Amino acid sequence: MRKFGRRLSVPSATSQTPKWRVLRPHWTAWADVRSVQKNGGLGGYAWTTGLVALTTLLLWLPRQLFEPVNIALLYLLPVLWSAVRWGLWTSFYAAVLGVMAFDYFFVLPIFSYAVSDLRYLLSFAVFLIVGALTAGLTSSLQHQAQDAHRRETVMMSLYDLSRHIAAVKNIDEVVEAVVRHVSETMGVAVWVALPDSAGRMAPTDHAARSAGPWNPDVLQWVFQHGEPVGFGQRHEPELLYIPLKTEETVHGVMCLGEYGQGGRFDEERRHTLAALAGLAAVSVARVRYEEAARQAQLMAESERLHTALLDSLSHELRTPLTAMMGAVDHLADGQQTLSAESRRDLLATVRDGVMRLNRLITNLLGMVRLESGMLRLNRQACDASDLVGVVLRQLQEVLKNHPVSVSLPDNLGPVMVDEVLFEQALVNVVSNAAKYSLEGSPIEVVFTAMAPVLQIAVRDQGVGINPKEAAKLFEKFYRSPQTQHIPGTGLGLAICQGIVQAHGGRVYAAPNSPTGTVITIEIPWTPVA
Amino acid sequence: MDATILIIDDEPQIREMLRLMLHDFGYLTYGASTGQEGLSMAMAFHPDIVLLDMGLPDMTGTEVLKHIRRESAVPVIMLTVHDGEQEKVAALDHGADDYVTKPFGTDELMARVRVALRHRRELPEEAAIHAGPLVVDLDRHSVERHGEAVHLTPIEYELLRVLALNLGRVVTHTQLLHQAWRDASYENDGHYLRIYIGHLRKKIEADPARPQFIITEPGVGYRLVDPDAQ
Repeated sequence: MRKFGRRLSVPSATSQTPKWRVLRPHWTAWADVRSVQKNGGLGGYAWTTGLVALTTLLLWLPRQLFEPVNIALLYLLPVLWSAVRWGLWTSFYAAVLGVMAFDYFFVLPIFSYAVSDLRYLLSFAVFLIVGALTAGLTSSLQHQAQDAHRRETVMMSLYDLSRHIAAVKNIDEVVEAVVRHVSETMGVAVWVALPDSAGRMAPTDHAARSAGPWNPDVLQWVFQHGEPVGFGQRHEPELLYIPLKTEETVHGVMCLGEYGQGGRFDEERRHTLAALAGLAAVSVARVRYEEAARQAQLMAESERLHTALLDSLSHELRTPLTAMMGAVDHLADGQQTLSAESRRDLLATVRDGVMRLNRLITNLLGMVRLESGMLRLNRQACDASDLVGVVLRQLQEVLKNHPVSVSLPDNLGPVMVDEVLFEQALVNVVSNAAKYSLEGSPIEVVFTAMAPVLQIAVRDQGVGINPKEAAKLFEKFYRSPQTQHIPGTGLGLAICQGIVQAHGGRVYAAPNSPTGTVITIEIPWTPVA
Repeated sequence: MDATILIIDDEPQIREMLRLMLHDFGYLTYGASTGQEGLSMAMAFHPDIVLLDMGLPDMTGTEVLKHIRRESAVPVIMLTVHDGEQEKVAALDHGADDYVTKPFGTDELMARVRVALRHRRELPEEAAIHAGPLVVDLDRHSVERHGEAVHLTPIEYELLRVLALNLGRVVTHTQLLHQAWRDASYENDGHYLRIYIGHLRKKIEADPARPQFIITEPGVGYRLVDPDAQ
C-alpha cells in the first residue's frame, strides 16, 4: 500500500504527484482480493508459541496415561485455534511447532529427534491440512460476516436517507437532505451541483453559500460523461466527484472531500457512496419529474381556461358588435325609407350594444385587477341606503321592467366597505337577478343586521338554480347549463365573490321559494353602540 | 350662443365625435392632441370651456389642469375612464369643475357643459336657487319643497347651500366638509358627512333609497341636480 504525503500543496515533494483520475470499476475487484488477506502479526505467532508450550506442559505430567496417537491429536487444538484467530500462516506455524514439540517430548526416545520419527510426517501433513481448511473456512465466514455488516451499514444509510427525502417536494430540500446525510455518514464536506436550464453546472443555493472545493471544468466533465472522478492517489483519492445518475441521465454531481484534508475514500466507503449517490439521483429525478408534471398540468389547466375565456369572450364581444354594425348599416342605407319608429328601434339596438360592451369591459377589468392582486380596499363608513341608491341608479336601464323593493332596517349605522368596489359587487348580483328572470318579475333587496355580520340578500323569481351548482356559480367563467342561451361570460359573480372576500365576507347562492334564486352577501359588521 | 370649447384628447375619433356633437349644439370647437398643444391653444384662444382627457400621452391630466389654473379660471371638464376615483378626486380638488366617465352619452356631456357655462357666466348673487320643486332661499336661509317649508338643522342647511351653489356640478367630499365645517378633514369626519347627507335626504327626497335631488357620485362626492332638467 502506497501512502501519500500529507502536503498536497507541494505535490512535487513526493514521487507520487496527485492526479485527476477517472475511477474505473476494476478497482473494486482489486480491493476485494486484498480484503480477504489478513495477518495476525507477530502477536499471533507469539500467542501460538505460547499455546503449543501450554499444550506440551499440560500433557507432560499425564503422558504415561495416553497413547502417543492421542497426544498427537491434542496438538491439533492450537492449530485449530490459531487458524480461527490468526489465519493460514499462523496455523501452519502452529502445525510445525506442534509436530516438533510432540516428537521431542513424547516420542521415544524423548528429548531427541530420530530418523524413525519420519513416520510422524503423516500427522504433520494432517495438521497442515486441518490448519489450512480451518483458516480458509474461518476467513470466508469472517468475510461473509464483514460483507453482511457492510451491507447493513449501506442499507441503514440508504434507509435513513430515503426516509429523509421521501416526502420532500422541492429540489432544494432534497439537495439539502442529501448533503446533510452524506456528510454525516461520511464525515467529510459534501456539495451537490445541479445543472441550470442551459445544462451548465450551477452550484445550488446550499453550495453557493460555502464555495465548494470543486473545479468547474471537472464538474462539467463529470456531468457530461457520467463517470466518477477522483483527485489524489489511485486507490485512495481524497476528493471525489460522483455523478448523480439514473439509467442514462445525469441529474447532477456530488462532490466530497476537500483538498489536503485527508478524507480518503476506501473501497467500503466508495460502495456506500455509490449507493447513496444512486438514491440521491433517483430522488432528484423524482422531484424534477414531479415539477415537470406539475408544470405540464398547470399549462394544460391554464390553456383550458384560456380557450374557455377566448371562446366566451369572442362571442360576448362580437355579439353586440354585430348587432350594432347591422343597425348602423341599416340606418345608413335606409335614411330616406325608414320610419321614425324603426329608426328609433335601430338606435336603441346600438345603445344597448354599447351598454353591454361597457359592462363586459368593466367586468373584465375588474377580474384582471382581482387576479393581479392589485385590488386595494379603500374602506370607508358608508351608508347602506346610499349604496343601494347608487346601484339602482346605475342599473336604471336594466331594471326598468323589474319592480325592485328595498328593505333596510332603521338606524343601521355605517357599513365599512370600499364604496366603489362594493357597489360593483352589488351591481353584478342585482343585474344577474334581472338578467335571469322574466320581464316584470319583482326583485327584492333585503338588508338584515345580524351582528357580527350584515346580510344583503338579493331575491329574484327567475329561472332559479340547481342546489348542486350553488357553489360553482361563483367560479370564474362558469355558466349554468340551463342558462346557456342567455348571454354572459360567467365573470360577474366571480368578481362579486372576489370583492366580498376581500372585505372579509362571503357570498352564497340558494334557491328562492317558490321559484328563483337568492344570492346572499355577508360582510363583517359592528352595530353602533 | 357661440361659446368656444377646447377639446384636449389624443384620440382623433373622440375629438371628431365631440366636434360633431358640440357643433350641432351650436358651440365652436378647437382640438388638441397633446397636453402641450392643448396648453398653448388654451392660452391663445381663451376658450369658454376645456374638455380635458385624463390619459394624455405627454402629461397627466392633472398636470395640464394645474398649468391651466395658473393662468385662467376657465371651467375644465375632465374626460375619465371608469376606474380611478382617486384621480378624479385629485383633479376636482385641483380645480377641475366636473368630469364625465367614458363612455358617456350626449345628454350627460351637454348637461355638464351647460352647468359649467352657467357657473362661468352667472355670479351666485341670486336670492334663491331652484332645483325643480326644491327651492333654497339664500337670503332667508330657508328651504321649500313643492311650496312646503322643509325644516333643516344648521349643518343640513349648510350642506344643501353648498350643493345648491354648485347646482348640477359635483362637489367632492373634501370640498363639502371644508365649506360646511371649515376645520374638518375627510379622513376623520367622512362618516359624519354621510350621516348628515342621509338626514338631508330623508327630509327632501321622496324615497331616500332612490334619491332624485342629491345624487351620490361613488368614491367622489355628491351632486345636487334638478330632476326636471334631466
